Amino acid sequence: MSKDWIIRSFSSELSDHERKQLVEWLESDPENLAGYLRLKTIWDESAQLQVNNKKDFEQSWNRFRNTIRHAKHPNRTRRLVVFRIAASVALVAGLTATLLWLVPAKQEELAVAKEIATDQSYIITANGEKVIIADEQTEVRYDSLAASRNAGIAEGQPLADPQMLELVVPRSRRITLVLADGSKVWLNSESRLRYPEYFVGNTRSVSLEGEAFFDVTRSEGKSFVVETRKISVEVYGTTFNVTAYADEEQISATLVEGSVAVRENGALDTRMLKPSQRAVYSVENKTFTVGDTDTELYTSWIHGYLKFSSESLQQVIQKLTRSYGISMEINDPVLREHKFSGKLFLQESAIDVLKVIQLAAPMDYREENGKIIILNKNE
Amino acid sequence: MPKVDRSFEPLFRRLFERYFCSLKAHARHYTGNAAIAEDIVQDAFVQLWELRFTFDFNRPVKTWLYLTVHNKCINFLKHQQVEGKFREGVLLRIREAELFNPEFFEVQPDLLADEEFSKRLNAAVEALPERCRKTFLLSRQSGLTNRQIAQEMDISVKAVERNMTRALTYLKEVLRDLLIILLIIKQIF
Repeated sequence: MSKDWIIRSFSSELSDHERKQLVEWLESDPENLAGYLRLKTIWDESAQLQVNNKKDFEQSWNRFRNTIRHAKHPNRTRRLVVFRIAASVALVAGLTATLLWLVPAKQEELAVAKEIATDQSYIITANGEKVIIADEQTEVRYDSLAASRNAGIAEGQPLADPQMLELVVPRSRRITLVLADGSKVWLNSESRLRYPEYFVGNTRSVSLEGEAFFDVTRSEGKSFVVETRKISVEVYGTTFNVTAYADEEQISATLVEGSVAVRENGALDTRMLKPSQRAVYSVENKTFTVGDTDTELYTSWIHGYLKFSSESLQQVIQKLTRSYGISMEINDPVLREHKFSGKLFLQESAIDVLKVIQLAAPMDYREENGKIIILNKNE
Repeated sequence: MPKVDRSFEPLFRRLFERYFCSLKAHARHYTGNAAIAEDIVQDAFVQLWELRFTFDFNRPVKTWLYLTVHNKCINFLKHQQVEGKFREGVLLRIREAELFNPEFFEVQPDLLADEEFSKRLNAAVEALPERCRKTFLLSRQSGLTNRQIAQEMDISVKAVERNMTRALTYLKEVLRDLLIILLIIKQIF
């Protein structure tokens, strides 16, 4: 059998007569079939080269994306299967373990929060211009080649200073950003990231307020630093999550892979983290606590769900508020400390999620002036 | 109420980038029609999307996608057979498609985990002799048919086929160790 025939069968260019002979040849000996399948693997795999050939591929992707965005939500019975929250552990005695979760925000931080409270994500450029990120665009990508070309690398000229950009994500949005070095950042709701359009020098430095998950590309001798208002995290090619919301009393870093060091701003000492460890910095005590953790608890949001392990209703509601962009308030102090474990899938509406929580906590809710008030059912 | 249903998109974008074109090549091979192939692969991805909350993405997604696409190809062909169109050709296509035994998927390594494969494939393509490589890229990268390539390069269709054969055979040899897994099939049949 001529190999030309095999290849013509892949491109579906055989006549019926030829195809008959091919099929008979394939059926006659497993060795023939094995050889044919090996060639076929190369044939199929090499079609991936088309991904670089943007236009057709992007057209297919857009078609798929439109289908899923306009898809109906799965019906109710199916929902119940996918969406579980484990029962609660009842009241916490005495409330002694209260986390200082909602520290009153300072004046300037309130102003910041107000500014983000539009419902679109945008980038602030160095000259203060705001570029709204179109609704359908969930991934912002920088062409590092174009950036370096603009910077004069190609011509061997000295580098211009990179422009600093700031990506702002409001409530109920999340965005994926690919930095000039190929590192990927998932930016959670109500977060902002300041980063240069391309990196120069020996440190790749970005600053974060809010929450982000980083998948950092290794670059020999060039560390990657995430700065937050109180601490910084230094990495060498790794995946990890940083939570540094302005209105929270804690800043934390959770390491999935690789190794990172955390450091209080201005301090010399660093603490190294191993995979599956989480460092929590207390803003009040100015100290780090490092411990083993289930990283999924802090990284699940990038996959569209929230995982909780013995967290208070207050914490759960605060995360939901960010994810959905709806104000929710618990008016009962006992209920606030009700503990939960489980997963909540964010494709459900906020009300559906509350209904699930209701299965595990003695709570009720009502809507009031565009706000959801959560009450203790027993009162 | 605002809904957040976009968080799986980055994952699907990655899967799409990694598998869409290969799957489409697979579907095109068996259905003989690029538009049908596109529809079939789109369907398979939408089906996966609907399963996204229960699907275990730690399992080889590739296996699932190939199996789903392959079954859809066979269903399409069987449907054509029922309609009585191109009877002889369709029967042969079904026979050819059924030789692509599902056992194949069980032994197929997950090439997403094996980034090395793409890297080595690219390097191997670079190393092809000039005309061979040009033919190969026009087919696999630009998606041209052999006839279109012949026109583009001003050579005969036969010459295009020869170049393609040389290219694929060479790549198969160079990547032999990565394809070795397919030999297991010999024991299965």
